Amino acid sequence: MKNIPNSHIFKEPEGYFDTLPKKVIDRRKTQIRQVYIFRAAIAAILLVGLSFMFLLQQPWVNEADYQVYDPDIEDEVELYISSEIWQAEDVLLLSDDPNEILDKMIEIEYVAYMSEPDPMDDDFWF
Amino acid sequence: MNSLTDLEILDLIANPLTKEKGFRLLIETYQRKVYGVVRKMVIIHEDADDITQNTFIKACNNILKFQGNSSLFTWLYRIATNESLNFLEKKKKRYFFPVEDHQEVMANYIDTSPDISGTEIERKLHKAILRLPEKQRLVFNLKYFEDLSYEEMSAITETSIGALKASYHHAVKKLEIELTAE
Repeated sequence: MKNIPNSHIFKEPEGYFDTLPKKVIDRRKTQIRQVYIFRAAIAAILLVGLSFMFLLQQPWVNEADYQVYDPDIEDEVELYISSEIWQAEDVLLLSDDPNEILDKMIEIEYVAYMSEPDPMDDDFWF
Repeated sequence: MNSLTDLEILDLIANPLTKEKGFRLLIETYQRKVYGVVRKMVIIHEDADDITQNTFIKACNNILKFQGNSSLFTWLYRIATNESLNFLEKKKKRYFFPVEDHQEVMANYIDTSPDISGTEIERKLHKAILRLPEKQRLVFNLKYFEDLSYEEMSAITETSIGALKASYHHAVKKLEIELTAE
C-alpha cells in the first residue's frame, strides 16, 4: 500500500469547472421555478376543488322562490302611488330596465288608441 | 468555522443583493474538492457531475440553516458523502442482481474510460477499493486520498474517531490482501 501513490487518477472533461457554477445556479433557479409552478397548480386545484365542494353542499335555491306572489307588496305599491308619495318616475326607477316598461306602456296605449273609433270620423262626414 | 473565505461567502449570501455572487463563490471555492470526493465514490463522471450539482444545490438551499459550528468545507463534504452513499444505495436497488452489477460497471469504467489516468497499480487499487463496503470505502478515501484528519472525518461522517480508525485499519488490511493476491 505504501508504494502506491495517492494521486487522483480521475480526470474531468476539459473546462468542466469553468462551467459548473453557472450550471448549478441555473439548475437551482429552474428547480425553484418548478416548485413555484407546482405550488401554484396545487393551490389552483385546491381552490377549484373546494369551490366545487362548497357549491355542491349549498341547498339549491329554487328559482320559483324568487317569484312568489306577494299580494301585500302590490297593495303597498298601489298605496304609495295613489297617495302620490311615489311618482311615475319613482316607480320606473325601481325597475332594472325602465325603458322596457315604457316601451310596453307605449305599445299598449298605442294599440288601444288605434283600436278605438275616432269620434271625429262621424263629424267629418256630416 | 475558521476560514476568512467562509465568512466572506456567508456575508455575500446573507445579503439579497449579493446572494448569487455568494453562491458562485461558494461553488468556485469548493467544487474541485467536492467533485473529487464524489468522483472517487461513484467513479463515473456523469454520476459525479450530477451528485456534485445536487450537493451544491442542497447547500445553497439550506445555507441559512448552516450553524457555523463547523467549516463550510466539512458541511459540504457531509452533504456530498451522503449524496454519494444515497446514490449507490439507489443503484443497488435498481438492479435485480444489485451490488455486483453496478460494481462491475464502475470497475469496467476504470479499465476502459479515457477519463482515467494513473498507473496499472493505481487502477488496481481503485478497483480493489470498489469491493469494500461503501462506508468503509468512504473512510478509506477520505483518509488516504483526501488526507483528512480523523477529527475532520468524524465531523463529516458523524462517527466516532475510534470507529473511523478501526474502519480505516480494516480497509487497509483488506486492500493489502487483495493487491498481494492478484
